[in-house]
Amino acid sequence: MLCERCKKRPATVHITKVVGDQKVELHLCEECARELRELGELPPPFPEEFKPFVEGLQPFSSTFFPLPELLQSFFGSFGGKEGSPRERDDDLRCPKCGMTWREFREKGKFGCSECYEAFRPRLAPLFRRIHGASEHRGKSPARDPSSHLKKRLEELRAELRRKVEEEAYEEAARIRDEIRALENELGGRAG
Amino acid sequence: MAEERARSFAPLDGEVDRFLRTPLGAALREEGPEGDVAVSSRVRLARNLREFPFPTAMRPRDAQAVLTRVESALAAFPDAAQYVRIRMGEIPPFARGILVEKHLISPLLAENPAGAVIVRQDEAVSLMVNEEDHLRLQTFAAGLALQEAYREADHVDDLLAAHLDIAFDPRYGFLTACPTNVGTGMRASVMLHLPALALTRTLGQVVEAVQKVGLVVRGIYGEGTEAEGNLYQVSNQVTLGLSEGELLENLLGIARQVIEQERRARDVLLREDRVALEDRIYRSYGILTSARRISTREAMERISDVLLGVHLGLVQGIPSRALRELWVMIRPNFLQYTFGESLGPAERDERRAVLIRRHLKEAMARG
Ligand SMILES: [Zn+2]
Ligand SMILES: [Zn+2]
Repeated sequence: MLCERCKKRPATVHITKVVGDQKVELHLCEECARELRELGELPPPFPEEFKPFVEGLQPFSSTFFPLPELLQSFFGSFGGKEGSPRERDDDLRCPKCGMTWREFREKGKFGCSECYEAFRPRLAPLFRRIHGASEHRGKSPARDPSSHLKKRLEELRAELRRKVEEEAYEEAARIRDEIRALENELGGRAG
Repeated sequence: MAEERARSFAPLDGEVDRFLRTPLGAALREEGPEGDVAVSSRVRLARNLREFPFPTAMRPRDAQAVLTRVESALAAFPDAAQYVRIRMGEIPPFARGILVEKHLISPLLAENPAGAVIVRQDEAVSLMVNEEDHLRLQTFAAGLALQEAYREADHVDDLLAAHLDIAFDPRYGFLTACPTNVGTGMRASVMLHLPALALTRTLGQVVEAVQKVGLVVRGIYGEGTEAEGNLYQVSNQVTLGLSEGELLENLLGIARQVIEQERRARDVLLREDRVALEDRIYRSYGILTSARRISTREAMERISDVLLGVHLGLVQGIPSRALRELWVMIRPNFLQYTFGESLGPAERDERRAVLIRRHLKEAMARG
């Protein structure tokens, strides 16, 4: 490919530039790239020691792992041997969303929460590969749906007492309204 | 044509307009703990409704149904009145761009017309609906405040779980579209300003050390190319097998070490060649307050230098908040909305310079 700018020398520098909300691919030769950098139209090249930062950089809010490289390496390790577990597993299918193990392998994304059940036999090794573990040890969703509301109500009542003691009546009034709303809701659930 | 261009950045309705014009929500205006290096903390929880396919596989009417469910759950929040709902399909592309520039939503959500974001007025809580997962609850706090951010996220998560049937498995935890999020569904991160580590060229070693303990370091702005303005985020990579508390503790410990390294590097710079450092900072100060045309990239670098100067006590009279606001204000969509018209790249560079000069002058006048 020839450099887009001078159309003479071969393009060896490939840059993705963001202009407004559009991504533009630039293919340039070394000289044109250097010139554009001097003009401030292109970012400076990154020094070697920054390389680990540069790879897979993401804006702050985006999904952190859009490319499941780990999945790739995991699935790659099955190899293509005949009669390998890989072929049999391709038959696994989620009854709810219809996703097959093969599709999951290609996309790296589940189709629905039932997929976890459908693919269960294959998931533990995958999760161990990604997370180094296959058992959840964190939070569970509240089983009693009103338990946290009750907890919050207690917190609010304590806060109300504090505000009244501090004579912060405006805030106290706000908290009182919040308590009423919450009490109504709990009442509504019970009834 | 010119009229059409001008109209494309016309003001939106009340509440949404207020979000789009405010560079920093109330939650991030003041500096938080370790604020000389730690800019902000964020906790994100990925959740899904058991009933519907994940957004990656769902039909439009499922998306609508999920949104309706979430909105009715939200209506029962004690502070429901504090939340603003913004549907992606109902706002123009530039407005979605600003929400991305403000970190309130991801670029992925911005591209989904069935997506929505529900933001609390102070911008400490934002709830993305129909991103890669049905729900991505995010909480933000100033400085190094991961525990505080998590407490808030945990609380809002409980409120939601009281009204929604959340996909959860006793063995695998919260079920997510991507296997890299399963378990806690939690991604916690700290945004760090690391100019001295960059200047002393020791960033690479720090990154390597951080990655060895299973955390990830990434740049923050700049659409997948590189970090601008020496802003980096450190976050947990693993989400399964450790509790939320353990994950936060690990991240907190590492973040503290990186912050310490950055402070040491700042001391080294002051000690070894104070004049060189001052020269760099004051030149950047001069450019920000005098330039007539400036690119986003250069602005990011200069803002980083001056912010370093503020934290070292070398630059006086500019509150750090004004500089942190500029990080958002100079972005293309935010900039064009401020001026109310569509601008070409060269025009943007000019207006950016105007906006920076004006903003700094006002900030200095306020003191
Ligand atoms: Zn060329
Ligand atoms: Zn499925």
